[in-house]
Amino acid sequence: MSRAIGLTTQKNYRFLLYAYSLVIVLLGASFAGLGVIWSLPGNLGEGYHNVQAMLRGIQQMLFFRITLFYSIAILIIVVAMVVLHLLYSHRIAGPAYRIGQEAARIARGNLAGIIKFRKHDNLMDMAESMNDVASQYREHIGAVLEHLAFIEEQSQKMSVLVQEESDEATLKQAAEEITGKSNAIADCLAEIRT
Amino acid sequence: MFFRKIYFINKRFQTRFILKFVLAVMCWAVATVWVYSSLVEKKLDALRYSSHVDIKTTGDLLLPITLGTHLISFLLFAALLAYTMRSVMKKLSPPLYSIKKDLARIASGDLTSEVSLCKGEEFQELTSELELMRRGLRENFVLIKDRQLALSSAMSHIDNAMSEGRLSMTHVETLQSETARLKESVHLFQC
Repeated sequence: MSRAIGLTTQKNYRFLLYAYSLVIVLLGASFAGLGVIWSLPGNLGEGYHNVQAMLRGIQQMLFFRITLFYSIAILIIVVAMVVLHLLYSHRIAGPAYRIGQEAARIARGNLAGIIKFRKHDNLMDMAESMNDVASQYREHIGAVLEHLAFIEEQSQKMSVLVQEESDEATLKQAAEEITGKSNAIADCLAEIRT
Repeated sequence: MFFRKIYFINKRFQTRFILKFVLAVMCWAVATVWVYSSLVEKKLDALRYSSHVDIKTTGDLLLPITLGTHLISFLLFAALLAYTMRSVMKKLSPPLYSIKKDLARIASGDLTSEVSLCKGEEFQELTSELELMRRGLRENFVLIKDRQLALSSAMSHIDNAMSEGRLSMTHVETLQSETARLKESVHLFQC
């Protein structure tokens, strides 16, 4: 992970993006520069007048050749840069989209999911944060359900005791146990500030 | 390793990301072509008005200028690219940092504050989703808390009725009903 506090990228993400961009431009520039030289007559000829005539000819066609080769090179460079940066920007946009999807799932009450990213994806720490969110609330819900199961059981027991008109001590004990669990639910819910 | 089907997933963000680098390339290209053309033109003019020409091939004429121009322009492009990359990454950091702080706050159980970013910052869509998540969680927990209060209240009535010696099935049924209601609200979550 990088040192950036906001955007955390995978190792070499920035370096590779930089290096690949330079390679694309280097290849494009080499193609254009050498293409211009290659497209012109190689030998300037013998004698002062022949060379001068050749230089005039080169001067006349040079602008067109430079425009042609550099236009082709720039087109190739731009296409390659678009593809490269599309892939690399996707390593940020993709995980962000995935986190958004997980957030929508949690908003619908689904706390079961665990986000897993692809090997080269960035924002891994945000995925961990989302997993933390789901697991924290899952724990709370689990605890509440556990206490509720006990309350259900005790209330059934209390119902039987009332019907059988049992002694007060047994009823009181059941009521105390239910109150204890109800308070435990309240404590658990108090940890969540709404 | 598995591959994504859609690579252009966040058009706004990715277009801006790509355009900044394409703009850097275009600046480099225009400057290089202009400098290269000017230098070659100048060299040709110098040779045409020279009384002595000692070059034999087009390579002798153009190669030194081509290599020199491209080396310098390439180094300048490397610097421009580094600056562009730094500015792009730097712009992405503040909103992500803010989102991370909000996520940590939500994970710690605080559902009170809104998840939001400053206008114009990246990741607005993600922030909206996270805000919807916070609201969804908050609504559910407010409901659960309300029903827990109702359960506590039912228990208080039972305690009072017991102390007054008038505990009836109605009290127990109310307790069972409130327990069922609380359970129903907890089951809004699927774990």
